[in-house]
Amino acid sequence: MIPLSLHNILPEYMNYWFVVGIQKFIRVFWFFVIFEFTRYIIIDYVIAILFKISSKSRTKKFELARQQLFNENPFVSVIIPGKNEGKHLYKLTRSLAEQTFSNFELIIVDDGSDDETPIIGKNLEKLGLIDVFIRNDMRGGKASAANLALRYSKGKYIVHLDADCSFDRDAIEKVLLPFFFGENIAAVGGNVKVRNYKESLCAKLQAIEYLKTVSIGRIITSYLGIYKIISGAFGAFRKDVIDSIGGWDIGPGLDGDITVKIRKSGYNVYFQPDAICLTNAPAKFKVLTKQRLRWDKSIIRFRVRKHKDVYFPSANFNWLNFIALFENVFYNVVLDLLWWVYIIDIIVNYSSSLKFIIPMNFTLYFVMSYVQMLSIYIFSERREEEKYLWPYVILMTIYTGTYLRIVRTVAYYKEFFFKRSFEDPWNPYKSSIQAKRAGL
Amino acid sequence: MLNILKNNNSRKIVNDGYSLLMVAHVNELKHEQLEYLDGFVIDSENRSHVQEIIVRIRTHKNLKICLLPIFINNLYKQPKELVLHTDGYINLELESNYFERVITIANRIKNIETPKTIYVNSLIQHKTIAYLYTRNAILKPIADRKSTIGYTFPFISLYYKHYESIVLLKNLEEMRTLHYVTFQLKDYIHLCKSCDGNYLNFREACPKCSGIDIVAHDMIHHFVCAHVAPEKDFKIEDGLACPKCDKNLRHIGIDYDKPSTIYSCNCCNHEFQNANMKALCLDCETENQLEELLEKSIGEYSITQKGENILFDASIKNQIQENQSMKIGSMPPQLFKIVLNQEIKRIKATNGYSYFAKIEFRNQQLQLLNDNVKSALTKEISGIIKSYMEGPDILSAENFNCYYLMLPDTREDQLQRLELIDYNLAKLINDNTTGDNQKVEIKIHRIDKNDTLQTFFS
Ligand SMILES: [Zn+2]
Ligand SMILES: [Zn+2]
Ligand SMILES: [Zn+2]
Repeated sequence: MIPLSLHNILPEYMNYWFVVGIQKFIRVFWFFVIFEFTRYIIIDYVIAILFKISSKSRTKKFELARQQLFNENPFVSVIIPGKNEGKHLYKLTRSLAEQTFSNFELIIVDDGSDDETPIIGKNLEKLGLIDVFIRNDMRGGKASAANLALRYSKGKYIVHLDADCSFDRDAIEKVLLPFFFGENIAAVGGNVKVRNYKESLCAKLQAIEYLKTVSIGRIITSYLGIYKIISGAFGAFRKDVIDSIGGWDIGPGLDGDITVKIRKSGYNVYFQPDAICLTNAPAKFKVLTKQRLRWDKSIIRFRVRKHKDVYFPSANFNWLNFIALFENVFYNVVLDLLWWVYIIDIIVNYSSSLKFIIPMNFTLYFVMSYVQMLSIYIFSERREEEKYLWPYVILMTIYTGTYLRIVRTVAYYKEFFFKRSFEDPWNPYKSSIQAKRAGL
Repeated sequence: MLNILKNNNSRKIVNDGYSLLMVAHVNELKHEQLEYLDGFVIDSENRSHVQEIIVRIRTHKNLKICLLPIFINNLYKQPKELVLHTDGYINLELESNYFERVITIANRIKNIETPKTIYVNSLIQHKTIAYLYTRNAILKPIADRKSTIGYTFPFISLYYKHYESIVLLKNLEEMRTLHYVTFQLKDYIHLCKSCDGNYLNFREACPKCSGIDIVAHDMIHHFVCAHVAPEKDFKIEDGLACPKCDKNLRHIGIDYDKPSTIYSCNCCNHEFQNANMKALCLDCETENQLEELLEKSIGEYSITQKGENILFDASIKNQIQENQSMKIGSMPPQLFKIVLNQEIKRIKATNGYSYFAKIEFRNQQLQLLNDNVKSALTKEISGIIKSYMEGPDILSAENFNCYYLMLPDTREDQLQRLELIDYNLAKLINDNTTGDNQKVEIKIHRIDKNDTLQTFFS
């Protein structure tokens, strides 16, 4: 008699896997074991430990950089290009007035807004809360607005922000520090977190997602030297470098694009998890779907198409750039396709065992989600606040594993075969048609 | 039946008991008993003579004379800003055409009461309403380059010197608030903050250094590479090329466009989109910021029922006016004059030392204040003056910006209190108004045995 064995307390679908053995388990869950578990648990935790171990020397490095920053006190241009962002501007100027680093000018570019933005902007400029306010009556798209701001920037560094974000008091100071490491760093990405996570379930799930992909994901890629996207919401750049590469190119996805351009020019980019900016995530799935379709299309357009040269041997070939983009494309595009292959594999070969496979699959992802969340808890400076999100982690399997995957597949399909990103109203038609013609 | 009578060197057109005087020069009015006339026909080509005649009649003290019809012999053309104040041209041979009008006006004049007010403003108001009533007309301003406000009103403009136009507008405004007239907006005018002039030169200036040497550049957006910069960045020898992607710009709207313009300042290199508009007054050379300019409305005024009633019962109007007058000085001006007169006599008898001071505020912004603010300001000003006065001193307020002060038994070395008053009043005005041309003027006069009241109130 085995009165209290493991088999008695576990549900039947789990017992099944104990019975069939580890080899069949790996055969059936190959997708999880090979790609997800290794990448998101093993690599994450290994790097997390390495990152923790090196924290002392990093603290020292930051302390030195901080001294240099305040000794040099470089002039910085904070640029905010956007359309119809007037309503955020006053709050933003207040948020920036609180910054510990204050030697900056504030440049706002109004990209053809059709609301009160021009009036608000002019007033704030008159009041001295904005240093330069430039309005283009005709909309040119985000990239052109950012380039216009760049043209009138006088700072040694450019800090690019989104108008609807708010910032920790030391955010600008922290985002500038890596430039003083002496490591050929030309661009620094800030950490973007979701401010309105209490607003809706949709926002909560994104808050968790951001913690995973931005807060942790970018520490990992940055540590490995394959960090490849500086959020448009909060990034800092060396003005000379950004000038030399001609500023931003047409988006969507221009923030990822410019990061790659900087990397290709031989500079390093750095993710600074301590420079924190809060942004509002879409509160409705409908809006989120639209946003993600746009972002996902840009992976094909830029990572696969525009910057395909990094995959081929050339004079400028760089292994880290290769890996950075390859990892990106592999974990998004290739695995997305592979996942569908996996589904077919299971349906064709194991249709009779589905009642054991499906619940087990969910269990695996569910456990992985919480294990990942634990690493976030270790890293985060807002861990107590973020405990609020823990109960919702259980839904992440459906959110990332199903919902986002379907959106991504649709986006890739549309972009790969139809180049739909060139029809996105996010850019004015006049620009898209030219970009398409030029094959950008 | 028409007769032109000529006696005593005067020519009259008489018809049915009504007589019009033909005038060619203002002196011809001197020997006439104007109250027995029913109108005038100006019979001169000389513009300044015509003007003198019109001014003399229209600003006549006697209400019934100033309202009399004035015609111009259509043999002589006169400028519109003169014709405006008359009843138009007539052809002397077609007397029936204009005598009907003479009779209507005469009948209407008969109905009007002469106001008993002593206030100049009220008198002008009364006359203006009467003019509109007798003509059954609307007070329509005409554009006039020579007026400091750019417009001239029939009749009422004759009562103000050209630099007093703002007071004229103020008086019209008062008539409106008293509901004697209704107003219909026709135009806004902008006047110099210091002299109320409208001869302004507008130009754009750098918001940083105020320099006017600024140049506008078109902004260019090159679509394909999203590069945006002022046109000068794109200029090459033969055309435009993008500095970012080296492509030539070929066709506006297809591969590039010009989404905006931007200025650069040749003095301080500042680059900006919103130039400051400034207005230089060509009369007094004051540089006005746009928001500093005085904005006034110009429009047409029509008489109301209440306005008409006032004409028939002048006493109502006097009451209202009396209530609005200044009673804040410690002594009414009329009484003050009597006391001052006695003081002059006393000085004559005793050879004593007494001073008279006139305190005036030369500030056009004060004119623009509403009556409540004016009366509050008068109290405050009087309060300040009173706080420095000594026992026998007497204060009187003529109006909100003119005060009289009598300082009996005061020697020249005892006048420090005037300096203190000056300093504190200037401070009050500067704290409450903007601009840098605030002026408090104190005129001091030692009362002399040869003085008369005219010396002080000419
Ligand atoms: Zn002036
Ligand atoms: Zn300047
Ligand atoms: Zn270009």
